[in-house]
Amino acid sequence: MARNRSGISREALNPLRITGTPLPPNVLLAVKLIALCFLLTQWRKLPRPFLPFVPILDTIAPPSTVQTAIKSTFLIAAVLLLLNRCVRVCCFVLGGCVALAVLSSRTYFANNRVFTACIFLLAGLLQRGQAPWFIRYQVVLVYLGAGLNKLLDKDWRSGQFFEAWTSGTPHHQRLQSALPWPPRWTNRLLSWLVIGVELFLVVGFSSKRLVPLSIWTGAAYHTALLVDTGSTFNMFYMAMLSAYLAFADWPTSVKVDYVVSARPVLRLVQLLELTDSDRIMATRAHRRAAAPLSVTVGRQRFQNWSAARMLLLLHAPSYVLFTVALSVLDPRRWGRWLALAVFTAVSASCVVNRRLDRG
Amino acid sequence: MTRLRSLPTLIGCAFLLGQLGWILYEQTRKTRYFCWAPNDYVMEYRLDVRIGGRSLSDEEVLARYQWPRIGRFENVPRHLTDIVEQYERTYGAPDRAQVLLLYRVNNGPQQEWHFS
Repeated sequence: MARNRSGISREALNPLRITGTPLPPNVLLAVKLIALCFLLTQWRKLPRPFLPFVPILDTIAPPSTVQTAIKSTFLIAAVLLLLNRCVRVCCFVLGGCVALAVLSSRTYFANNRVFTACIFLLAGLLQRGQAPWFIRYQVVLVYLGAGLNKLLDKDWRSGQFFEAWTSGTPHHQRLQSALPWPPRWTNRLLSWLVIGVELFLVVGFSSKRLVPLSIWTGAAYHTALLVDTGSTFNMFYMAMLSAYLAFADWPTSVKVDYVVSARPVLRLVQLLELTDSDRIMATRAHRRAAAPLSVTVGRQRFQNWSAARMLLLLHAPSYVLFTVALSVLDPRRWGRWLALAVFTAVSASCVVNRRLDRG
Repeated sequence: MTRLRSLPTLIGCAFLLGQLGWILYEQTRKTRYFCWAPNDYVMEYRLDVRIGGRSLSDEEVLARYQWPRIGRFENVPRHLTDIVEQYERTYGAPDRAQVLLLYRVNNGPQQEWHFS
């Protein structure tokens, strides 16, 4: 194992590696994805202090100096995080930078940035071996706040908000004119659907049994918003979906059995093995087997499409690739369709899996 | 019990409980800061700013408040009026600007807000 002068192995510095740090692998992956997305989409927009929530923040130093300090500190901490160095401290620093940026500028305030700061700060507070329930309850609180705000707002209950929201959008107007009932019914239905989803997610993410359904519902909800509006709401789409990783039980090993003569399967396994920085895959080749691909995670066994899905879902580089693509692509054009394609593919593989099991 | 008592855990718990309390508190006010009320409003607005009898242009208003003069705002009106008011009471105080904000929320009746 190659090491540099400080005794740190090159493997440990691999940005695609998510094990071997004080943070649980799923949490480290989540904060890396959020940091990467922020670097690619938001870092340049970190503001100078301007109309701060805390008055002193625009007088402690020249605004340009504060802006440079925040940006530099964020960049250094993000790079160190990606290189798996002092990950909890880096999370704290990253959260502190975003929080400071928000507090120092009213015009920079936005819920997506506050959420990003919260996730970083809470990840930084995690103790070694501790379950990430801080982050889980943070997700619950976001949906509680959002759902409650809508439930208590008369314009949401009546559908008035959606009437205003859709009034300038051609595709909404076309849809409403095509429906056989008055637009106000559609608006009211959409309002209550959104309120229902958000409040369901409060309950769902608070209950271990409902977590898988909640992850799917949340991903469907946010992807639908992205497809409809062409907006990721800055950090919100990536930060929230990354935070869902905190609910996952991330395995330390995965057994992969595959048939060598199934070429596509062989290529997939070889590619994933090559990029498996954490070495969690234990692969075994067979000449014949009941299924071309089987994956065993703990007591659960997956075959065929669900096995492929599970391998990709447990493969950190897959998430990194998706994050980079979504951050780089314009969400109003290819970004939204990429998100929809990935969501549909993952969902479809669950349905196919169930039919194969029955059939 | 030892885990609950560690300082980072206590800070995390306090942070989350504080948030819960703040969420409930902000529902009793019109400010809606830091309470996870994201993009729940459609506010169409127009800002008219006069200094010394002269109306500021779109570019001047944007440079002044770092916010467009005319647009769509997806938070409560109070967020926008707080931006304007804080600017005019601090950086812009010597200008003695007169500000008129015309807005409607969720296609409701037009409302006005003045600062001078």
